[in-house]
Amino acid sequence: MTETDSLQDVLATEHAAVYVLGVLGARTSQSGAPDLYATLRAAYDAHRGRRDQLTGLVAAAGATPEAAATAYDLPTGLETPEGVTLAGLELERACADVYAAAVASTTGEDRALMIGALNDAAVRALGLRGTPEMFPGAGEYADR
Amino acid sequence: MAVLGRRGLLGGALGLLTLSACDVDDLRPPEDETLPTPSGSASATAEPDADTRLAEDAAYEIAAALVVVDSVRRAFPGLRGRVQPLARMHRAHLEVLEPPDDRSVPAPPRDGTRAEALGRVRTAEQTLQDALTAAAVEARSGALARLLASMSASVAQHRAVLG
Repeated sequence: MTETDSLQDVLATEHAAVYVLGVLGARTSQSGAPDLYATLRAAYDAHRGRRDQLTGLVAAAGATPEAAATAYDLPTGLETPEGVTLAGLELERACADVYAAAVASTTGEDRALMIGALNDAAVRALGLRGTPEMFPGAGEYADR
Repeated sequence: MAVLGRRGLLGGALGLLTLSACDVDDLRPPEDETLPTPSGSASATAEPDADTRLAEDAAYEIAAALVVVDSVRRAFPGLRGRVQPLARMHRAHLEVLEPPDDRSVPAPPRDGTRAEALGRVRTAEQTLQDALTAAAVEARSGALARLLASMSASVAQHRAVLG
């Protein structure tokens, strides 16, 4: 796997994250749950920004950026704000896992970008009722 | 297809590490583990001396932050609840990266106000996060880079909660 392949993997994850967060936002009442809505909106914007950044990096490397799928499997339990919050939390943790993996398979500026994205996802998880972890994105160390 | 469901796949590829404290050799993937090979100047195969030094420096930085936290915790019992999670995090990280025996961490000042003490903690944690991030970028071993990046993210989370 090349460094560009790693970026493509992360880009594919960001496509999914943008899609799922769009759905989570649509299932959240802006007036009924304003804090959750604002958190999801900020996460959506952040992931969309990362997606666009990664698309540019892959293209600059001379490859064709991974395209988004037409649709993605959605989490269940989105009927309540609690369910939406949990889905958002799991999404951010999954993104942290993918970014942490990409840290291992990139170098230099690309790796620095992956570290920044990992940090951002870890901190965003706190806004979705997450609690600080010892090893975000690398949970196997916590299980030792 | 849910791309996020791929988490297990990536975790499986890179999560083969079972670490014992301190030895950076343990952070290198087993020879039969297929790690992605970066196309840049560094390779996924560790260069032991450079990465060992990097891991020792990172552990020293963690130990230095822990000394600050412990000092504030003792001097200001009212702050114990706020800084205790930081101490737990640093100790968890030092179980993976043990600091070198031959480098002692200087004792931080214990005077000043509660606000100044909190300021020292914030500064120490920011310094640590920056050091872990820089070390993660520099690491030759992809596995060590991932571990240091994860530690950096943990510090970022704890800093956000500390406020």
